[in-house]
Amino acid sequence: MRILDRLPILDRRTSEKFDGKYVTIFHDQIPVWVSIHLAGESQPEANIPRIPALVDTGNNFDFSIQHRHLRDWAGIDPALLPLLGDIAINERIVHCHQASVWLYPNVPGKREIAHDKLPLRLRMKKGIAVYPRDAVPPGPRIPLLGVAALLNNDLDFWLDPELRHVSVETRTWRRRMIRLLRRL
Amino acid sequence: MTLIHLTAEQARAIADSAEQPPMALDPRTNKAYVLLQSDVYERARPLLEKPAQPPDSEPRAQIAPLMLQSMQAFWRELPELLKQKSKSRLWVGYHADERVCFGPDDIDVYQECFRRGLQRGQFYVGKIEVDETPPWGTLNGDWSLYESTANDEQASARIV
Repeated sequence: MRILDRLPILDRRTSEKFDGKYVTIFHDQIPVWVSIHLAGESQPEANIPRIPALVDTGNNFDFSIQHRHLRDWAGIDPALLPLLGDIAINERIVHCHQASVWLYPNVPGKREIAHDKLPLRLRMKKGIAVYPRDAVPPGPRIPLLGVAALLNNDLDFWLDPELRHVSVETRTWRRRMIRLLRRL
Repeated sequence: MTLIHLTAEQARAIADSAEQPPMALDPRTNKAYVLLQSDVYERARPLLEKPAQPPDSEPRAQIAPLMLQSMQAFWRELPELLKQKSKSRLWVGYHADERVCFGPDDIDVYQECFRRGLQRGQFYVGKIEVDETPPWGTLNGDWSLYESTANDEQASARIV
């Protein structure tokens, strides 16, 4: 199943609009659309807010978000998410809460959500990192989807630097084929 | 403290910003600045001026006792669970010291726990795989995001 299909990586700054708000996406960033849910839900809630996140390939945790973004953007009261443990991010303790994150497919070649396709539930084995409300600095400007989320959910990540796009898909026969071809 | 007067356009951009606090960028040095209201800054000032403390000295929120007990049971039994791992036993749920069920996916285990009347926070769903950190432990992470705006036109003019 292809989740991100030739998602463009633009060489200029743009703004993404959601729920009447705008966020800046700088050049060479990979914005995706996600929603956050209580853990254990088998289907995403119909009217759950879809919020932007950045794919951060140097981030070794699955998902990180500010307390304020979780509450105001994602529409979830952080107090509803059971505490699991914590993570020291750049020497700052950030609590990890039990939750699931759904990743929305894009219209092929565009940044818009493909509303006719089902989102993919990302398992957050260690929870999501929620920067506390009074954190200084406050945490990521936009929620971050770390490379660990791709690894832990067995997702293929393919970046085409020539065409400046990225694709993400669940495991298919192609992975084995490409691995075989690389050996030749 | 130096006082810099904002232009009307900059003041409007700050007021309209979806991201709070807004940020400003110096195009010459590429350094970013967080714009705080002076009263917010004064409240945060003692924290900023306090010497850095090691992570372990920061206050921790408490994990719910039942959740912690469930995690500890999972961690205690993990070596044995690894021996039983199969396609249908990739995830497991614990409620206090009781093993609730196995499942091929975490969602199966969650649903079974819900079916038994358990609420979130009263049970733990763990993946059966080798792990070096217990579920309640402290992980180590690097937040890598570094935002360069070198190629962006009008980078200095407006932050939305």
